[in-house]
Amino acid sequence: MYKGIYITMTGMFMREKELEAVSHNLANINTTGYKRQQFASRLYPLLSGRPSELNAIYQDARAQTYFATQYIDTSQGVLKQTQNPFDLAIKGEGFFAVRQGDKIFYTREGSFTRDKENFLITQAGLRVLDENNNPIVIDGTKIEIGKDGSVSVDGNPVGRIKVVKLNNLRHLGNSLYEGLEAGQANGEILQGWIEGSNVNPMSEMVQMIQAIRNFDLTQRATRNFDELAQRAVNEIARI
Amino acid sequence: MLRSLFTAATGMYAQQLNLDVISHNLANVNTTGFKKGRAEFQDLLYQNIINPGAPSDDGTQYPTGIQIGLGVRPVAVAKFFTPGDLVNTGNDLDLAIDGDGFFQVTLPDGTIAYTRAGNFRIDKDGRIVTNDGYPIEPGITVPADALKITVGADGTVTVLQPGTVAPVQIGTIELARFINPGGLQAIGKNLFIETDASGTPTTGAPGTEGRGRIVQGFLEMSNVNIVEELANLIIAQRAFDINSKAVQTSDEMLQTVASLKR
Repeated sequence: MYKGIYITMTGMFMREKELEAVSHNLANINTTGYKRQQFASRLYPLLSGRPSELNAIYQDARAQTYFATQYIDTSQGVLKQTQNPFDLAIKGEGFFAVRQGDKIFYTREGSFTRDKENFLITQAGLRVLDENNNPIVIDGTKIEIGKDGSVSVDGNPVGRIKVVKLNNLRHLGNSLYEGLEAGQANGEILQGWIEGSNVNPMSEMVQMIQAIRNFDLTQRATRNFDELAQRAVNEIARI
Repeated sequence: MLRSLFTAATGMYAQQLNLDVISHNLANVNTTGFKKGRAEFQDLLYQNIINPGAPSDDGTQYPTGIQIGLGVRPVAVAKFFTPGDLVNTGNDLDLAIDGDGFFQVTLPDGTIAYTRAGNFRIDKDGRIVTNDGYPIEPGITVPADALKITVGADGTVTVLQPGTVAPVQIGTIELARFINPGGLQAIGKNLFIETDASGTPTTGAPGTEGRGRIVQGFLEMSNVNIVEELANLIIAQRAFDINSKAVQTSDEMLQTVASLKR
């Protein structure tokens, strides 16, 4: 009965998800190294390759919308100078590699510090890795990090921070990402800088307004179907 | 109910905490030896609606899948031990550290606390103490008849007594240095105490092992930069604003849903 109600329902459902994605971006507007997520919906696909009788039934339902893709917008975030030697930002592509237990994760959050054993760590305590996936030890007072990631302590080179390109990028939360390493990235490391999030409040606000208006519109269509049903039940039956 | 409502609420909470940290920095803009803090955030967990690599309807694989993030969480308030400005006071017992070290003082319960605030005084027993009366460690007692106190860059404290021309050494100020000063616990009153994260201090004479020299007659001001903090304040307020808009929009959406059924 009234397929229209179900079709408009999927529309509202999608707008709700869209608002959720926008809210998450806005919540992280001030998160170091955060990369915004972009969310897209699309029409229900043709059910090709299925038995033809099934296809006939489902073809009418194609006006429904459903989850399609989501991608992580890896564009550059705002660079802020802090002059703190342990704050590192990547200008351009690439991710820092960090170790949690026996797993390697990736992050753009370059606000590092040093633990009591002299390891370079993230604010959550994960160790930052060098090119050979070994933790970086900084034992000294003066730390200098070059654009290519080479670390020298008191003038002596001690290694090079790993900055990798990633494929199949996936958000994990806690500013960490999962992905497949695809070689050395060509991003430059800036010491004494941090990268802010790449969320643009203006475009997020526009998307939010669009979501709520589309939601209203779809809701109005639902009401129209409802009115149609009301007439069918009350007015036609009066005869 | 709408996830976005709670997601935006985490954003408001995070910015509120950010504001707290900035306010504390601004409140201490004139506090001797104060070190500024910065709130650090991370994105919260993600809910996987479609796992990356899952088969799609037309037989291909989703390259990224669909993940919906649930907001933001504060992860640390990092303390920054960059040096503050040194201000000349001319006072004999105003000491500043030109380097990484900390002065050590003994709290009433016997534990050692660490401080960068070098505005020391002499109490009624002649001991060198902080403004709160906590004696410096190792303790130094100044003779009652001392005319002039001199503190060398290496920490030696000498006094000139009436009737003599040669200064007499009455003690040495030792400094402590931490591998990770950011891990120290601030306990107020310009004091820090050692934690498991900071590591144990290496103590010794000033000027050795990166502990920094002592400069007499100077005070280290706070390292808060007002311009930077005000910029952060504006950003925090706007971020709070914009998250409250997301809460409002979610609320509107709920209202629309509620009005569906007449």
